[in-house]
Amino acid sequence: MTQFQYNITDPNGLHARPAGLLVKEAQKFSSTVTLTRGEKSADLKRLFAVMGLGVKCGETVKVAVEGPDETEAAKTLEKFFQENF
Amino acid sequence: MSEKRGFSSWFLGKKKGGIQTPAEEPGVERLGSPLAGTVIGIEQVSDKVFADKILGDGVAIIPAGGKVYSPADGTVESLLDSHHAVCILTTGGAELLIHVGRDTVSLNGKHFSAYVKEGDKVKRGQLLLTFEREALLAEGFDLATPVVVSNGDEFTMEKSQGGEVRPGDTIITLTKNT
Repeated sequence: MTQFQYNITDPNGLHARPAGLLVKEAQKFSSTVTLTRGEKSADLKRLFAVMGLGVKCGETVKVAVEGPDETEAAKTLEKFFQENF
Repeated sequence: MSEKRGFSSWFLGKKKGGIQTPAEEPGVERLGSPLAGTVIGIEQVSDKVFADKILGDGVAIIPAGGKVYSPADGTVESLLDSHHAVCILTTGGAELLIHVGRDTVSLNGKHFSAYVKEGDKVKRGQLLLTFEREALLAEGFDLATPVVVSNGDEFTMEKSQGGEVRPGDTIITLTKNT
């Protein structure tokens, strides 16, 4: 498993439009991707699951990737977080 | 005698669910328009992320008014603090996103009000949000409002082909894939 943490700096948190793009990005990989906020986790490949976490600005999320392409997926997703949130 | 048989087969047919409107069929859900306005194809939305169906397939509505009603019975899964978008999980299992206007997130809630909160059970036609349409238009916002199903791959979707709608008019019919 490969994982990283990210502190959300977008004032609107993980909001709908970029969240959709993030989900699309995660779907490109065969690995399972899990987003965790506090004690709640969500499948990062499902928009509703991600939106349901209600991630706000200033919060730290954890992204865990597990599967054959986990290294590349984690790298791509971390970059996406940095550029969009 | 034949008359009696006819009655009984009619009765049995009804009991089996043979004579029902599509709206009551299991696996079929009709989504009502959340807004009064004009339906356009999702492909015509200026925001490419929606036009390319990244967040899901559906339609968009150019609002004639500023009241957003629930398209179906369901639960408010997510409501952004900026009150410009709401996610409804319908009782039929559709994951519905209503996103009022383009880049309206930047207003941080200005001109928007919410009448529900996350976790609320809502009925079809219940008021979810309001927005000050005139004020937003005056500030130059494109108010085309996508209504998309983010788990559309689980359904066969029939979409309204356009034209004027009132709140509650069917804009999308979903049939659960078996």
